[in-house]
Amino acid sequence: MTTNDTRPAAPDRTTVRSRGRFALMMAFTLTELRLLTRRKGVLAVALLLPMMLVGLSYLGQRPEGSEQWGATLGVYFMYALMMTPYMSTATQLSSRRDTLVYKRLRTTELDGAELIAANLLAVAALGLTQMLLMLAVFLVTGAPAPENLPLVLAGVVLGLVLAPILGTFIVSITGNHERVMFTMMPLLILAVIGAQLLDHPMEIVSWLSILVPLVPAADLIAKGWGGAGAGLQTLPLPVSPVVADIVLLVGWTALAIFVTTRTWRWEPRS
Amino acid sequence: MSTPPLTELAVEVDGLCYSYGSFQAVKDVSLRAGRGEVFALLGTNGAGKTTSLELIQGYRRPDGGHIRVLGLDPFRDRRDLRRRTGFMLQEAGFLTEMTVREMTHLWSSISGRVDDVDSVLERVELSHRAEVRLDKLSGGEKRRLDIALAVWGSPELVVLDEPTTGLDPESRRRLWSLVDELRSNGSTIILTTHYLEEAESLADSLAIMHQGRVAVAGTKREVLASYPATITARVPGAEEARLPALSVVPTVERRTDGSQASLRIETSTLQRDLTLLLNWAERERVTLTDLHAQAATLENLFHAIRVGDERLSPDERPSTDAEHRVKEDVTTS
Repeated sequence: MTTNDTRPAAPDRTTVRSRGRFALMMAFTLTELRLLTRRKGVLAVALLLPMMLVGLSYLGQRPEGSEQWGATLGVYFMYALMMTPYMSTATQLSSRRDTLVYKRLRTTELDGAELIAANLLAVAALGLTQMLLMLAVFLVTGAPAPENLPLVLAGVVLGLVLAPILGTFIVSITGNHERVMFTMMPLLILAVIGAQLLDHPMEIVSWLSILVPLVPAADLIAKGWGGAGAGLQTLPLPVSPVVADIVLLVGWTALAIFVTTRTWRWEPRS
Repeated sequence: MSTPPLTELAVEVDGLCYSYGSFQAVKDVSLRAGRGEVFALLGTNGAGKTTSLELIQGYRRPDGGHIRVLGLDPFRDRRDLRRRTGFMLQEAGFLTEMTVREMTHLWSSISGRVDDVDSVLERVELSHRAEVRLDKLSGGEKRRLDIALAVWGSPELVVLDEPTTGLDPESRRRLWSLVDELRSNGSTIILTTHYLEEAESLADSLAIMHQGRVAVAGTKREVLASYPATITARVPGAEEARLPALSVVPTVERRTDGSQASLRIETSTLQRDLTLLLNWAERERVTLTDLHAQAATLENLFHAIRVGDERLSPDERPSTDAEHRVKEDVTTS
């Protein structure tokens, strides 16, 4: 094997700039965020859902007192977490994987985990915008101010971390985009039902409901908004429900990451 | 196979092995590609070239063997290597909701290499389609954009996995000239292709893989020299017995009436044996009809490797000794 001596040892036009991992990741996050806002369906859900929920709170029996408001808003924020961060992540990631976009992007300097993280950040940012919009709309339309805003924010933030990761987990155990529509449903239904059963008179029902992923986020929001009397009241453990909520959310997040990293595939399966 | 000095090697692979479960896809593969050259990796279907390429790109951890790409371990130093390498995959998707320009901008924003969007699009003649959404591009245009992204920032190493599949002849020629341009600028190019004339036209060195092994490898000249050239002619039946002493014993096939004999001489010294044959014919006043002399082509070699596979049981299959294998193919055919 010979090389032509007249050729330069390295390309004479290559210019490399030093850019950190975070800068590259953020560049991809911003692109994904821009693309998310171009998808009419995603945008419609993100913007119209808060309005629809406000409408629901007026059409049905309007909550009375901060505890009722807390319980109602906990459930509503739960809907939002499932509709935008969870479902959008599952559909977007599976679609990117089916169309072999990830296969191409993995040839770049971003590694696999950074690519997924960049995607999740974009979805979480959209989810956060939606949550803030909901917060503003409810306050403007007569909901009482949250009794413990940090607790509300903790529920929102932990929910915004867990929901996209759960969406990723669903994609990791699903062969292709077509099937993801079905595989994401059980968790969606369980979470929505679980959030509504938090203050069920039968303790065993409320204890079981808190074990459903994301339901602890609804409980934190309910307690943050409506006070300690909202949401789950007792547990068969010597810990307060708030501590249990946080431990459960962190635990579900860690478990979902652990399983996803072991089951994730970069190409679709039939 | 002659080897460039170690400092000039862009890709150095020794004893590479990889299995999918119990199926051994890559068996003791060794390859060398010098810096600034075009190296073609060819192979029959399922030969293991895509797996080898994925190992070279660091997508898989080898079960055994040693790989250095631009002096780096591709699995451990993936990130550093990607900054210096452009890839054109056989099949990969675009973010189809973007335009050509937006996709190229995205590439710019997530690449450490610096280049100019307009000039890159111009190089692949996509400037006039810059504002078109990717789902509106033809297959050939998408392939050209693939190329644009692979050569973004003139990387030190460019991996082109079947780059001209789906391209029309004109686009193929344009890609060939782009490859030449990259080589002139000092980039090393690893190319896989099913078009043997493409490898023959572009490659400085090459390897042909078969059933997970390297059947033959070296510079284009070395590889072609590993397969004999062929001289064929017909002589009057009576003259065949007086043929001159050539470097090899010709294969002779007589007609049933004995009036003519067909000669087939497979030789590694084409010029010498052809001269001997022509001088003999002149001296003996013998007319050689239908005289043909042909140097070995990649197609001959590829065919020999493939046919050899069908005749050999796995246990008898030779290892990576290319020359041995080709000779065995020839003698059995």
